[in-house]
Amino acid sequence: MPVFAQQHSTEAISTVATCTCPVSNDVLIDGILDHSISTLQFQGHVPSCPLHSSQSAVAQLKQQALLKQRQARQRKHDPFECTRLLPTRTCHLYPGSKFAGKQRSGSHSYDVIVDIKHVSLTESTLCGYLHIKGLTEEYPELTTFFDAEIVGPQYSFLTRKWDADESTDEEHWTLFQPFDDIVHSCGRDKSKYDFAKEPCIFMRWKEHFLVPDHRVEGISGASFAGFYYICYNKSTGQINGYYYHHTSEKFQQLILSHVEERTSFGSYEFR
Amino acid sequence: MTLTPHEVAVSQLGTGHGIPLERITSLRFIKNNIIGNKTKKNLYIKLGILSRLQEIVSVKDDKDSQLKIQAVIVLGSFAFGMRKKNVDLYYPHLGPNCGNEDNITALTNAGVVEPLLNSLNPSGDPKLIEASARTLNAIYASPKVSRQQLFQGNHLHVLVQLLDAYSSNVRQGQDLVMVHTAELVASILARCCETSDQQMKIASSGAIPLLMRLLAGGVSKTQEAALGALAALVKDNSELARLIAQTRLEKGERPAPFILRLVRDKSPTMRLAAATCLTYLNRAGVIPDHYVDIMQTVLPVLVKMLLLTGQVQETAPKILAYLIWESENMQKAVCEMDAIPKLAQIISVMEDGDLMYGIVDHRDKLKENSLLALAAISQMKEDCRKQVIEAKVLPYIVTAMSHPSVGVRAAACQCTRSLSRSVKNLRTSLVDAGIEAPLFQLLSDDDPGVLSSATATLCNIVLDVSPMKKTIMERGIVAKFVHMIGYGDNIVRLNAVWAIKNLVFGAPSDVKETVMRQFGYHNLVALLNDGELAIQEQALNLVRNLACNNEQDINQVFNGMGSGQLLSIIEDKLTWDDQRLLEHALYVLVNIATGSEVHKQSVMKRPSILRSVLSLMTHESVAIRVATIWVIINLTWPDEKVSQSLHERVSVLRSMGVEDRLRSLNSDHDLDVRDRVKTALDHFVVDQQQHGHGVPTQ
Repeated sequence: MPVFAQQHSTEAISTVATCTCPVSNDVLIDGILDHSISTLQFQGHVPSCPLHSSQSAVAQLKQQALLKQRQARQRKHDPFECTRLLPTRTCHLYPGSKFAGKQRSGSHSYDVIVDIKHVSLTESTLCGYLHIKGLTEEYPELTTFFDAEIVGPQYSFLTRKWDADESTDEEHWTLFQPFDDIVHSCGRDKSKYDFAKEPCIFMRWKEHFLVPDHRVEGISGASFAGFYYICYNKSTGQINGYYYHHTSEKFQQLILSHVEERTSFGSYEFR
Repeated sequence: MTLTPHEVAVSQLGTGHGIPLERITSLRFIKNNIIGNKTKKNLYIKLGILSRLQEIVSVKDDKDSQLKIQAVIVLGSFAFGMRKKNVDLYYPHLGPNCGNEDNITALTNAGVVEPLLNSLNPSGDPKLIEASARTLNAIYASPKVSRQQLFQGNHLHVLVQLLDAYSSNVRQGQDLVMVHTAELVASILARCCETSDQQMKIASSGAIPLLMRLLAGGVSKTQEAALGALAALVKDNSELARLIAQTRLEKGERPAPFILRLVRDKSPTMRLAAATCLTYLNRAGVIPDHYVDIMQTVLPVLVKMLLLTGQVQETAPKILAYLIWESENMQKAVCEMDAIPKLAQIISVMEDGDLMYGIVDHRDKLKENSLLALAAISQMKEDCRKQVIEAKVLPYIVTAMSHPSVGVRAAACQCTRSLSRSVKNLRTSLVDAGIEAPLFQLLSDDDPGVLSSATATLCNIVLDVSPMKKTIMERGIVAKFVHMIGYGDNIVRLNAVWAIKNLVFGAPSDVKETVMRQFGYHNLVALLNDGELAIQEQALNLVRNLACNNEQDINQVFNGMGSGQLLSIIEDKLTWDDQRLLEHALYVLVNIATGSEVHKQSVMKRPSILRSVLSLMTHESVAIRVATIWVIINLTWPDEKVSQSLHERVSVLRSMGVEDRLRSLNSDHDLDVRDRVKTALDHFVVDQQQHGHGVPTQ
């Protein structure tokens, strides 16, 4: 393996790699960052030396050097540097994903579009916007912000809030056909439901405020005081849901399917 | 005209005066005059007393140790500030807590440090040693004093010897003095652990076993000092942390369980010292067996300290922040202990009154540390952020962003950074609190710490879910970012690229175009080959976001960088063994492959890229496997009408073995992979049905 030696000439200082195999890779890796590849010259390699044949081997070593540098940085990091919140996704649930469909309320039916804005599988949550058309005359189009609790290790099938008791939960979850399979696989102990491994993801979607102006309160003829029981099928991209609020009409149904407009994916990350 | 008694006293100190007794009397007179009297101290400094004292302490002769002792004590009086609490003495690294900076500078300028270090000679009068240690300790309370002298010559060796207070050589009747000296020396060492080099030098001088003995010794003030020194040695130094965690006390016990008992001590300063030491050991990851103890004992003890007063209350939030910083579970636990309302209370009741610019006093420090604790709690979990918002403390945080103290500004900004890691907060509370204007203001801050927190927060503010994006862009934020990429330090540069990447995520073509006109594609290319991998990663993510959504956007990038250069860069990145880089490089391909035939061909014409994609299809990471399959899906996407070029693309991929590789992924354990494989294979099957077997003739 070569080590680096500085050679002084009348012109600029150039760096010469002299093969002195077998010197440890580390010496080489540590040395390489200080020199730009273009100023390297190679002399006297033995044939087994990785620098013997190609410049790409040098590039490889430079990569290793940068990776090693990154590891070293991580060890010596600022103790108050924020932990990264790396973006997460699964199947059709990713930031920028869209679902379109209808909400049925009695004989009425409204167009609905859902925009997924953030997905945190580590926190078992996601959030987005829910657009609904024609619900009231005053607002021909309404958009709300909602967030989701994903049923799994962190959130149970039991809601225990939002005016929903155990029988409400039972009544709604059992409307989803895949729920039967869970009773079979997990028995009564549904706390073991692992959404990462199952074909369906169950969620509760709770709307919080209007978009764009979160300060608007009270819209005559519409309310988002309740929440949706949701079942998402990972393979088909279908979302089924039922709205629940103790004073609202029961079992208003939400039926959405994934919009495959374009299969390009950007990515953002909170800093 | 006549001399004042003060002038007389100073003049009597001159070396010409041979009668030691008179000089001692003068020193006592001076000592009594200056204690707690800042004006008198200044007067004596003006009369030139420091060089007189320096002369006395520098005398090699050991006979008149009484005179020396008095001189050293008087020097100490000059060094002591208003704050003498023990925690302050033992935790110099928690911040500059010295109220007497000017006097200490005068002392060091008079050259007193070297003779004081020399006076520590163990063969000398123990009282002189003790007095010298005390004065040195007071001098080193100032972070401005250079620590260099201590590490030169024999000084460190001598100091460490003085830690040996419980050795059998201790002269009868001197043991109390020795123990007290050891306490002061431990405190001095704690103050001299500013760099890992200093930490290593102290450790290799044999200090650790002696500190352990002091720790186990049972004199509580000395135990506290030993804890302070041990904490300073292990802070941000995993090597020493491991070493110390694995040593044994004299009875064979490991230090951690012993220190854990001290966390329950009746003295608050002892509890804090013990909690601090365990906090540093825990962050270094060297006491994993004590996770439950930390959760159940250390966390609640620190939270309860928020209700105390003085130094302990001031320091506790910072230690708490340090302890929980990387642990989601601990953040959650602290939330459940109702720490947030307590911190909110501290921050909101402290009104900023007549603060003088730049002076860091207890109130500022308490505010800074409490803000940092809130930042720590709300860093990772949305539930915790929600509690902070509900505590109605946000307006105070925003005000603190314009605080005269740098530390408070930086901590307040850390807080807004944590809170802005949430779509919900970006849409609501942060808008209501008006963080945008003060945040923009901080971009002109002189302090690098403030600037880096501010730029980090802006990364979140410029997301498309944030209503503040539009207004902050109108203020010219992009130009600021571009400037920072060229001139900032590495963290600020990283944040600036990160921000631009977030800003163009999901943005319409005209916004992307405007941003890139200011940024310049040549700058982007440079960042893609930056010496910092973290910056390369963000730059690659930026390319991914730019070449996303429609053909026009892909064209922009192709024209901006030149498609040849772009593809060569991607080709290179695909050979890196770094998951983040690989993922972004693959998604650049995914996005390009949604484009026109020209775009798709640019990828198809690069056999080495295709080979990399093929080999990454069996990568251990699900995310990478999914990305590779998306590349294939998009390259084989069926057009409305049957196209010959599609068939050619499919055939090339098939001949490379892509279809076979896809079939082998049919049994992948991950459902996302299996479903994507299904789609990709469908494309191959459809092609086969339409064209039959065989590779097309070229």
